[in-house]
Amino acid sequence: MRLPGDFTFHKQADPWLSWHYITANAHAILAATHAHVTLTLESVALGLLFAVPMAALARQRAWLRSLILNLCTAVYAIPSLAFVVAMVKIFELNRLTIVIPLASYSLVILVRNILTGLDEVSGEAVDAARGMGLSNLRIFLLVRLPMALPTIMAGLRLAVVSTIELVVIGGYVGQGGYGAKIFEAFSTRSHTELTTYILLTVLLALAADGLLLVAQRLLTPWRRGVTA
Amino acid sequence: MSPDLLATHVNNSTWHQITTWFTSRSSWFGSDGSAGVFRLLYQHVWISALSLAITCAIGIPLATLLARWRRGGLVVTSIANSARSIPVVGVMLLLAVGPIGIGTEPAVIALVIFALPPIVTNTYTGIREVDAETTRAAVGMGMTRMQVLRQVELPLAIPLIATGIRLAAVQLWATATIAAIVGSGGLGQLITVGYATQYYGEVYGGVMIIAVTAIGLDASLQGLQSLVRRRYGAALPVQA
Repeated sequence: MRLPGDFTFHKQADPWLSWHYITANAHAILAATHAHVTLTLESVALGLLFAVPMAALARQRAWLRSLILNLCTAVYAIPSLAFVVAMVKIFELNRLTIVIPLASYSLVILVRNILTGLDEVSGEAVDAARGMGLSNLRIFLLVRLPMALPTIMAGLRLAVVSTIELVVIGGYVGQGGYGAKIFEAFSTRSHTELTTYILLTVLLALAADGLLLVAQRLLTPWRRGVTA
Repeated sequence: MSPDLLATHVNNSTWHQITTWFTSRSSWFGSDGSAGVFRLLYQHVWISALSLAITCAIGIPLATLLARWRRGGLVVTSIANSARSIPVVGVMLLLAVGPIGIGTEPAVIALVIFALPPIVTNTYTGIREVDAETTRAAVGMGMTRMQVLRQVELPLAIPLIATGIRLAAVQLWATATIAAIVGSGGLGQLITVGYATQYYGEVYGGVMIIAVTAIGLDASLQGLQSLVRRRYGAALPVQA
């Protein structure tokens, strides 16, 4: 039994890794995972929402193409800490503080891959669709996008993996996910908590990568056997 | 006070803070106890340059060794893929609570780890893509393995090595900002100190300076790289 004046508990074990920590904190880990996954999905979804029209626009004129690509590269060069803290004053504790910077970062990967994918669509397939009387919008949605899907999915995988890593910085500005736990562990000097959540971030990224690879195979059955 | 009025009031005061910060002498040259922009810029350049030098010193020899090895490609892709998923902030904080402690060292170690992939992958690809007939001709002329490496393979790989160094430098400049969290100084300190004291003039001043220098570095290195390409020939970069 510990008495109030007994400080030996300060010396309690704080190993770099502990299975006991994981089982004892399963609820907190699940909650953080849920928050981390949600933030990642929201960021990439918002990025994708902007990336598709941006890529479609970039294909119209050569100057638009270089303008859009350069703009994405410039945004990507802004350090995440600067971008995220700059959003705090505007959105305060709203999740947009982290979602907007991460969506902006994902654009550089998504726009480039969607563009490459659309460029690779064969002109003959488009001509055939036009001969069948499809409108331009339908050709875009029913022919060009599905044919560009393998390259788009490859970009999506990259974007998701790098977003999972980037969500961590949100912990600095009071956003949830593994980042909150990592910064909490830093302030309480808890080795176990710190290593656990760093490893969880890596594992989540690897799991997401694998899952998206499976999805890519399922979505593009005609490409099975082709190494992308 | 109505919410609208409150919002305008807050915005005006932020603008006021930003202009005050930009026009006051102490933000640029520092006052007693706090470093100014020029001092922090110097620290930022120093940390990034030191990390880049260490990364090149480790990465380029490592990549040339891996290029000689049959399974090298697998090692290179796994280095690149795993580094992309490790949270850089986490590693910095981990090194800071560990035996290394707070300061420049955890920052430089973390920065080197994350700058390695672009340099290793590009150098590796650059050497691997040298035409086999070219190296065979060099061997046929009586060159030793070391001579082939130094006089044939490395010069031909220069465009890709330059790409790797550019990608690493831009990434280092950005990541060195985060290093301010573990007390390494640099321009990121404008953000961490401003955020901690809720002085948004300093935060936004810092954000603008960091964004402009980062984009400027990226643009100028791309210009420099096109010079290298003109001198040594073009090659496709490897994104990592």
